[in-house]
Amino acid sequence: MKKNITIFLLAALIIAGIGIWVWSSVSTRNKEPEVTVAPAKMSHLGAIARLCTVELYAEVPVLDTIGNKVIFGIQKQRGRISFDIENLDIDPTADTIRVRLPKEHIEIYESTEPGSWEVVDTKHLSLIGSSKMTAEEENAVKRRIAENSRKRMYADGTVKRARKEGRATLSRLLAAFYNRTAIVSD
Amino acid sequence: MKKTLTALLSLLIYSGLMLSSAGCSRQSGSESAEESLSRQWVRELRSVSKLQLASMSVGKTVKSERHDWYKIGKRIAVYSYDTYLYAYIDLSELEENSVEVDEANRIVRISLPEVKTEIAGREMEMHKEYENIGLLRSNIDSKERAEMKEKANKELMKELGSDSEFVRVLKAEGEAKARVYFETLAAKRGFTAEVTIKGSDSK
Repeated sequence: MKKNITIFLLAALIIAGIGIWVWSSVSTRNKEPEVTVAPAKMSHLGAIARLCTVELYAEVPVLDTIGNKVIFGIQKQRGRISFDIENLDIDPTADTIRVRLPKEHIEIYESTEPGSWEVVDTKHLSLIGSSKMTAEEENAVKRRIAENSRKRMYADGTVKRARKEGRATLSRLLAAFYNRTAIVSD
Repeated sequence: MKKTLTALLSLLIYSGLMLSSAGCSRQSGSESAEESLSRQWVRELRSVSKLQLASMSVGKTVKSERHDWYKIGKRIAVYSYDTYLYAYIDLSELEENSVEVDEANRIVRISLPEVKTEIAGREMEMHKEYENIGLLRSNIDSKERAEMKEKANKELMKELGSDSEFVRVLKAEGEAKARVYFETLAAKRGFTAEVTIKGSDSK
């Protein structure tokens, strides 16, 4: 009898222990980690003189492989093409102002709209191995995205268009300022 | 028995053919899916005429921390990224009489439109500042990092409201540069520039 009670109590304790553990696991599974954000800090401030002629917005599907891991996501991008007109070589005494349009400066960023980087899925190519990407792996994917977007701008004529508009705008600006014809070459 | 075996064999061959053809179509379907994925879903291109005068980058740091009493080890990760802003004037707002030249006195009077500020975008990468994930704890994955960035972005947008210190500083830097730039251009011509900027407190 005593033996039965002991066994019963032990079993009850074990079941209660398992129950508490399961309840803790379930209740904390839905609990999100605490995410805290520090106040913004200015990391750079500088004066520039850049003529921006084209702005771009794109939603880009991203499917990439790093090592044995695959990621699929959707990124909203903002890009712009500008030209540094700080140190143009201008001869103000000439009857016609002649300058050369500088090399284009291409910027591609992630948009600050909500949901601009949405990770749909990650997976591992083999049956074993974690599908989770490290920050370094993900950053490598992001660098490729930016590079691909840059190449696309050259390939589809966006840069050409920006340069054409850059020449026209700069020519108008210089002509207005110097009150004479301004020719901007490529 | 023989009929049953023949039927079974035929069924197996047929199933094999169906599976392999489905695999091929899945493969070619996935290839065309990948090809279509290489295209952009939405693309908007617009011509602008902006003279950017100042740039600012603003850093945000975000931390994820989780403590569970029954789990061994910590789970802490800290990441950071920058967001970029510009001060600019819209050259399409320049009017015909925005530039007045006084040849006699060697003065160029320039009326510039208001210096505005805008957010160009944010850095794509998230820099790992610190990570301490216990052996028995799960790693931070891409979705979680994206959510952290989203939260940081939401808070940053509030901090970068139109009356924020960041915007004021950037605008002031832009106005100062506008004066310097056009004064330099005028000086090259042997003139003195008098620059007025719409909406500017300083002269």
